[in-house]
Amino acid sequence: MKTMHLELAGEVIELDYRIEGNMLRLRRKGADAELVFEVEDLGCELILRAPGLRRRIAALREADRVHLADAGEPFVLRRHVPDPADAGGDASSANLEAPMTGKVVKVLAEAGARIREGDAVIIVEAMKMEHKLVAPFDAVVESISAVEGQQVDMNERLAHLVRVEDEGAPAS
Amino acid sequence: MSERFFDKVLIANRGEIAVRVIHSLKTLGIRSVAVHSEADRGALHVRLADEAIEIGPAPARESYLDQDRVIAAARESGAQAIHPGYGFLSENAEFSARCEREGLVFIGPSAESIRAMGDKAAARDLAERAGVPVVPGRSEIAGDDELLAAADEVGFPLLLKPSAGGGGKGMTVVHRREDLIEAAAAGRRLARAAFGDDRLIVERFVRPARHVEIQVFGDGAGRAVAIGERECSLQRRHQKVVEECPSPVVGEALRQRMQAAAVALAEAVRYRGAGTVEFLLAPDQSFYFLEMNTRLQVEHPVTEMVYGVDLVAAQLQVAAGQGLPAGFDDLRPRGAAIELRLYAEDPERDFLPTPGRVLAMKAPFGPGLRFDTAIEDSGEVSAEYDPMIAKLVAWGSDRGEARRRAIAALKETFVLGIITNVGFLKRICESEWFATADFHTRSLDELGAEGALRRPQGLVDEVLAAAVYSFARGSALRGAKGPETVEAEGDPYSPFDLLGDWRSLPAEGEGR
Repeated sequence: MKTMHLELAGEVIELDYRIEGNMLRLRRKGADAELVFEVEDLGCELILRAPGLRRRIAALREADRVHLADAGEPFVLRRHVPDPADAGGDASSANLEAPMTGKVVKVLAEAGARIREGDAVIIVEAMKMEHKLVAPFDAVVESISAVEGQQVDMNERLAHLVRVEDEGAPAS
Repeated sequence: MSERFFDKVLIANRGEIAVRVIHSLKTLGIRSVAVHSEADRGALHVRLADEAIEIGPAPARESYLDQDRVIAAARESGAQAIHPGYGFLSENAEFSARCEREGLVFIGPSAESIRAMGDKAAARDLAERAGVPVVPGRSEIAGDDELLAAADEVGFPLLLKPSAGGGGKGMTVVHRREDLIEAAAAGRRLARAAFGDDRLIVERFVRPARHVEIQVFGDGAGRAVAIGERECSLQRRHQKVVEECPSPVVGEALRQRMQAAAVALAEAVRYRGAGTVEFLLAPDQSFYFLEMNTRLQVEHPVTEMVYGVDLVAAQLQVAAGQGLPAGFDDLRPRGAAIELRLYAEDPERDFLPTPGRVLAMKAPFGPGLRFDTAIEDSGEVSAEYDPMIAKLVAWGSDRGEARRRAIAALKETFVLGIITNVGFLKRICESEWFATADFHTRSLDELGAEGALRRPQGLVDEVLAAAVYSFARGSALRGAKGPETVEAEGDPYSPFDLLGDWRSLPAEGEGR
C-alpha cells in the first residue's frame, strides 16, 4: 500500500491505497474497512463500481489539484505533501516519493550514505522531462528502494532519509 | 416590410447574453457583429458572430462601456442597429439618444423612458400618477409632530430612509411608535453625515415580502402588453439567484391586477420594447411598485419558456418599427419554468468570487431544459466581468416537474477548474421550503447566516476514491479536450511547471 495525503479546506486526509489494473483499494487512516472500487475512466468522468454501487464522478487533475464534481457538488482536493520543514522544524525523517508516474533514470546515493541538504538522490523521468529528488535536510539515507530503469507510480516511496543534526560542520 | 427586420445588427455586450442575442439573429437570418475586448478574443460570442471587432482593453469602461468605440464599430461594420443586452450600455439614456442621432437603431427604449425610470423619485411619482400602487410613505417632513402624524398614517413597522440616499444606506426599521423620535434623530445625523442632506422619508416596511416582476412589451407608440410575472425573491445580497415563472403565489386575479398596473406605467412613458416592472408583494397580496428596468432582464428565459415567445426577436421587430408580434396581446402561460444562475463563487467561503479557467464543463440536456452560457466546454471566467457562468432553465408541465427536472439537471452539470455554486443551487431546489414555495426576499440571506445551505461536512468515500485514482493514474491533465500531452514550455496547465525543477531531455535517437 502507498500513502497519499489529500487536503480539503485545510483539513488533511491520510489514505493508504493500491491500484491493480482498474481496481482501487483504499483505506482511510485509522479506519478498519478497506474500500474496493472498480474504476472505469471516461476522460473527465470516472465510474466507480462496488457491489450494489455505481457512481459517476467528474474528475480532472491539474498539477497538484484534482477538480471533482459529485452529483453537481464541486470539490477541489489538493495533493498534500507533508513538508518536514513545516513540521515545527523537528521532522526527523522524510520520504522521497516519485512526483509523477515515470521511470527512475539515476540513483545517486546508496543506503547508509551521508548526504547534504539539496543533494540529488534520485532522478525520475517522465514524458521526456527529468526531475531530481533532493534531500530536504542533511541526512543519512536509511533505505532506498529505487533501482535504475524501474517504472514507478506517482507518489511511490523511493527512499527514506533520516535527519542528521549539523555537528558544527563548516558551511558547504 | 422585411421578415428579417434588419440586415445586420451589432451586439454591444459579451457573455451569455451576447450569445443568446446572436442565436435569435441567426434564426432570423440577420448578420451579427460582435464587439469584444482584448480579453475576450477567444470568447464564444466572438466565434459565433458573423463579424467581430475588437474595441479595447479588458476593463469594461475602455471597451464595452466606451460609447465612441461601440458606435465606431457599428459604423465600420455597417450595422443598422445595436442590441445592448443587459448591463453595460443597456440603460444608458445618453447612449440611446446618441444612437438615434447617428441614425442607428437602439434596440431598447427611448432616452426619455430610460431617464424617466432611472430617477427613483421621479419614477415613483410617475407610477403614482399612472395609478400604480407605491409603498405608502411621506417625504418632506418638518418637525417631530409632522413625523408622528406621518408615521401614524403609514403604520408600524416603518422604514426611515434618507431622501438623498440610495442602496439601502442609512435605512432604519422602526417597530414601535415610542422609538420613532429617537430613531429619526439618529437617522438625520446619519443622513447628514453620509449625504450632506438630513431629510428623511417615512415608508411602510413591507416585510416579509416577495419580489415579483411583470414582463412588459411596448410598441413605442403608446400601447403595451404584459407577459406574465416572474418570481425573483430568492436573492443573495440583492443578487438574484433563482427565478421562476409563474410565481407560485400569484393567482389569475392578482396577475391581472399586477399586469394592468405594469401596463399602465409602460404606456404612460410610451415604452418601446422589453421592460420589467418590479413589485414588492406583501403576504396579504397587496403589491407596491419598486422600479422599472428598461432592458431585457437576465431572467427573461423563464418567461420565454412558459409563454412560448422569443423576446429578443420581438425586440428586433419592435425596434424595426413593425409593432408588437402578432398574438402578443393574448399570450397564455403553459407549465412552469425555473432558472438557476450558475456563478463562479464559493458558497463555502462566503461566496468569494472564483474567477479562473474552466477546464471542462458539461451542460445538462433533456426534455424541458435550456442552458444559456458563453462557455463551450472550456474557457476563461475573467475577473474583469460578471461572475455568472450560465443560466440553467428547467421547464415542466407544472412547478413540481420543473423543480425535479432542475435537480436532475444540476446533478448532471459539472464545471471543472473553478468552484461554482452548483451544489448550493441543488440544495435550494431540494429543500422543503423551496418545494412548498415558502420564501421571501430575505430567505437566502437568513438561511445563509444560519448555515442551513452549507455543504454537508466531510467527504464521501467515492469522492476520495476518485481523487486518489486521478492523482495516481493521471500523468497530465486528463479529458477529451484538455492538453493530453504536455510538451510546450511554459504551458500554463502543465503539471511540470507546478512541480518545478524538471528539464527536458532530448528524444531518443536524436543524438544531440
